[in-house]
Amino acid sequence: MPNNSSANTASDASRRDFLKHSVAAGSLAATLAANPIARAAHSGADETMRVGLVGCGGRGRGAAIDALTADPNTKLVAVGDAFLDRAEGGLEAIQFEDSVADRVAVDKDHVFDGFDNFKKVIDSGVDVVILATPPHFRPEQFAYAVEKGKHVFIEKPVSVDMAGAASIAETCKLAASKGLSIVSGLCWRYDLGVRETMKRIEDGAIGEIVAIESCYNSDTLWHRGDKADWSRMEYQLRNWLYYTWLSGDIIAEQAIHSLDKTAWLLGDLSPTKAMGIGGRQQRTDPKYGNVFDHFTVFYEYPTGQSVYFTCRQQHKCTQRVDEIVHGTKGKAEILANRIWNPSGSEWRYDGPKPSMYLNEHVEFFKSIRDNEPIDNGHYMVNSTRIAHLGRMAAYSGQTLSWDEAIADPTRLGPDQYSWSDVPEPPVAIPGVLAKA
Amino acid sequence: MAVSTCYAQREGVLEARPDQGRYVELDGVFLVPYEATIPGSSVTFWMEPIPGGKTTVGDLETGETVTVELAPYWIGRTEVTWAEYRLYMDLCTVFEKFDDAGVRQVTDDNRVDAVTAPSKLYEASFTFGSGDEPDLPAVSMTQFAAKQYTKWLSLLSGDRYRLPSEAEWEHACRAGTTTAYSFGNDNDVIDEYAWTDNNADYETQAVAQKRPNPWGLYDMHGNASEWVLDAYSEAPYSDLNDEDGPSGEPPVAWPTKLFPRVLKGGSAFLATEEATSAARRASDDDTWQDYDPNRPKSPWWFANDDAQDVGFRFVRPYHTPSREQLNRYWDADLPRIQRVADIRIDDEGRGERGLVDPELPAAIEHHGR
Repeated sequence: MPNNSSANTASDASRRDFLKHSVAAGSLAATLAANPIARAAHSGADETMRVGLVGCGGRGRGAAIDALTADPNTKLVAVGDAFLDRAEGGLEAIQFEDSVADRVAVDKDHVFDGFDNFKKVIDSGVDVVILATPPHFRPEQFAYAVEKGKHVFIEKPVSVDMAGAASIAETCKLAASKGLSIVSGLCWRYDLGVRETMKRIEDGAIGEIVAIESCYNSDTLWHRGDKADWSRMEYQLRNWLYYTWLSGDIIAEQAIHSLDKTAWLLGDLSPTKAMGIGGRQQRTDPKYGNVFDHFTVFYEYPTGQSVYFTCRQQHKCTQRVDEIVHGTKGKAEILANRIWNPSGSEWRYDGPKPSMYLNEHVEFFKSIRDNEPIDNGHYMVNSTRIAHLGRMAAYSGQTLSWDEAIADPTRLGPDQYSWSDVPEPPVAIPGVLAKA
Repeated sequence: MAVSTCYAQREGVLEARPDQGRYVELDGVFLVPYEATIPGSSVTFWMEPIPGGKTTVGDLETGETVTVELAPYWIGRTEVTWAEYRLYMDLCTVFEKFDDAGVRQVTDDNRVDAVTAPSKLYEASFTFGSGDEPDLPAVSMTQFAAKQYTKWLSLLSGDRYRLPSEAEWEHACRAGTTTAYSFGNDNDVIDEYAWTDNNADYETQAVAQKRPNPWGLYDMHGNASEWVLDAYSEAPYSDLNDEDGPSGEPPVAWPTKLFPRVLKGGSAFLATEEATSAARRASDDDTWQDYDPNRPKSPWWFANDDAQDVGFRFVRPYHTPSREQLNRYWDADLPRIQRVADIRIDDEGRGERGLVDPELPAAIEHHGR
C-alpha cells in the first residue's frame, strides 16, 4: 500500500493531539520543523521570489494574484496553459488587477501553451509554482516541480484516481526531504473562523464527536460550449468539469472541501470503508460528459464515527454547504462557525475573516521566507483519496474498504495527449458498468 | 384594498379619488399602492406611492442637510425577496438553454435589450447564511446585479423600474417625518419597527414582520441594507447632481469609480444608531469579494459573510424616463464592470446574457424547461 506523505505520525497520534497541531499552526509545519531536513535555498527576506503559473483559468488567475498580494517581493514571470488563448487571457486578467499589475513581469517568451507548458514554466527560473490545471495533470506536474526543487501551491483535488494520489504521496516525501513548502488548495484549513470553530470542538465544546452530516449541495456549474473546429480532446479539456478523467467527478473536484473538513474533524484519519449511491438526473445531455450530478456516501471511521455525506450539482434544489457535527454534548456547524449546547448556550465566531485564499499564500510565502516549510501533503492526499473512495463506491455500487480502494491501480485518461478525437467515456452504471 | 382597477390608465394610477387607503394626488389623478405579478410567475410584489415636491434630507440633527425637489414615484413596500430574485437568478440556466437551442441570441443590434444573468452559486453558504426561504430579503448581490434586475423586470413587465437615488430612498424612509427615525427620535421602540443587531441574531428575517413607516414601507430601518444609485462620499449629498432640474430625473451623485457606493437603511448586522433615516454606509466591494476564488471576481455576487445583509428595493418613477436615461439606470456605469461581466460570460462560461421582452416567459416555457 502506498504510503501517505511525510505526516504518518498523524495516524499514530491521538486525534486531539493532531488537531491541536493542525489548528494551531494551520499546517504540519510545527511537526516538520523538528525534523532534520534540508532547507531549500531561496528564502532570504529580501530576495525577490519568482512565481510561475500553470493553468490560467479563473482559479489559477486568482491564486497568482493572491500570491503577488501575499508577498510584496514577488514577481510573476511565466504562465502556461494547454491553450494559448487561455494563457494570454489569463495574463490579461491578472494584469487587470491594479494592485499587482506592476509585478506581472511575463514577457511574450514566457507565455506557454501545449501539453508540456508546465515544464517550460517550471524551467523558467521560478522559485514558486502554482498548479491550477484540471486535476488530471497534477501528479505529473507536481513530480516535475518538486524534482526541480520548486515550492508548490497545488490546487485540490491532487489527483483524479488512486494511482495519481499514490504518486503525489511519493512526491510529497521527496518535497519534505528537500525542505520545500507544499500548500494545497484545501482553503478552509486557512480560514480563521473555521480554525477557531475546529479548535473549540477539539477543546470539548460539543463533547466527543458522534457523527458528522456533511453536504456540498450546490447549483450547476459553468459550461464553455463547443466549436466545430475543436477536437474532442479540446472539447473535453475546455469543459473538463464533466469528465471523470479530468476532474475526478464533482465529489473530488468540488465537494472535496466538505470531505476534507470531515477528515480534519476526525484527526485526518482515513475511513475504513464507504458505501455510496449516485447518478445523473439533470445532466442527461451528452454535453455533460460522464460525471454524476449527485452522490450520497456513508463513510465509517476507525474511531467509530460515521460521516453522512451528500453532494449535488442540480438547479432549483435546496442549496446548502456545511458540516453539522453531532457531539455527545452539543453540535456545531463548521462554516457557520457556530456551536450549540443543549443548555442553550451558544457560540459564534465574530473575529476577523480575511480571505482564506489570500491567507493560504500569506502563510505559504512566510514559510518559505522563514525557512519553516509547510507540508500539507498528508491531508491533501488523504482527503483526495476519501473523495475517490466515495466515487468508486458510488460508480461500482459496491461497499469498498479503504485498503482495497487505495490499492486500485487504474489510471484514468488517455495514455498519450494529443489534439485528437479522444473517445467519449461512458457514464458509470452502478452494478453494471462500474469503470469511469 | 386599493389596487389598480379596470379604468386605470397605468398600474397604480386612478382617475377617481379612492374611498380608502393611501394615495398621492397629482395632476387630477391618484397614485395608489398596487400589487404586481412578475410575468411568467405567480410571484408578486407591492409598490407604494410616494409624493414628490420639495423635501429636506440628510442629518437633521447636525444640520448637514440638503433640500431637493423630487418627482413622484412608487417604491417597493418591502425589500426584494428571494422569491423575486430567484426568477432573475434562474435566467443563467434559461439563457444557457436558449443558447443550446440557438434561439433569442444576443447580437449587436439587440444588445440594448439584453441583461446579464448572475453566475450560479457554487458556495451557497456565502449567500444563504440566513436561509433561502422565499420571504427572506435577497442579499449579497452587487449594485450592478441589482441594476440589471430592475432592467430585467422593466423589459419583462413594460413598467419602468430602477434603483432609488439616495434622496428618493431617504424621502420615502422619512415619510414626512423630521425625526431621527420615522417613528421618533428615540430608539427604545426600534424593535417594533426593525431588525437590527439588537434583535435579529445577525440574520436577516422574513420581510414585513415589523411595523411599517407612515407610508406603508417595511424594514426601512433594518433587515437588509439597501442599494441606492449614488456614489459614497464622506459628506452626505455633497456631490448631488441635479442634471434635469426639479421634477425631472432625481439628483444623483453618479459614481465614477467602482466603490464606495451608498447603502441605506441599517441592517440585521448593524446597531440601532446606524439605522436612522439619514444613516448611510459605504460599500466595500474589495472586502466583500474576498472569498471569491476566481479572477476576475464576480460582477454579480459578493462572496463574503460580511455582505449577507446587502439587499435592495426599487422604485418606479411616475414620469417615465427616456430609454437613454433608463439605460443609465440599468447598465454598467463603468467600462470595467461590463468588461468583467463579458470575461466571466464569454471566456469562463460563468453567468449568461440574454434578451428580455414580454415574450420571454413563453420562450422559457418552450425552450427553457
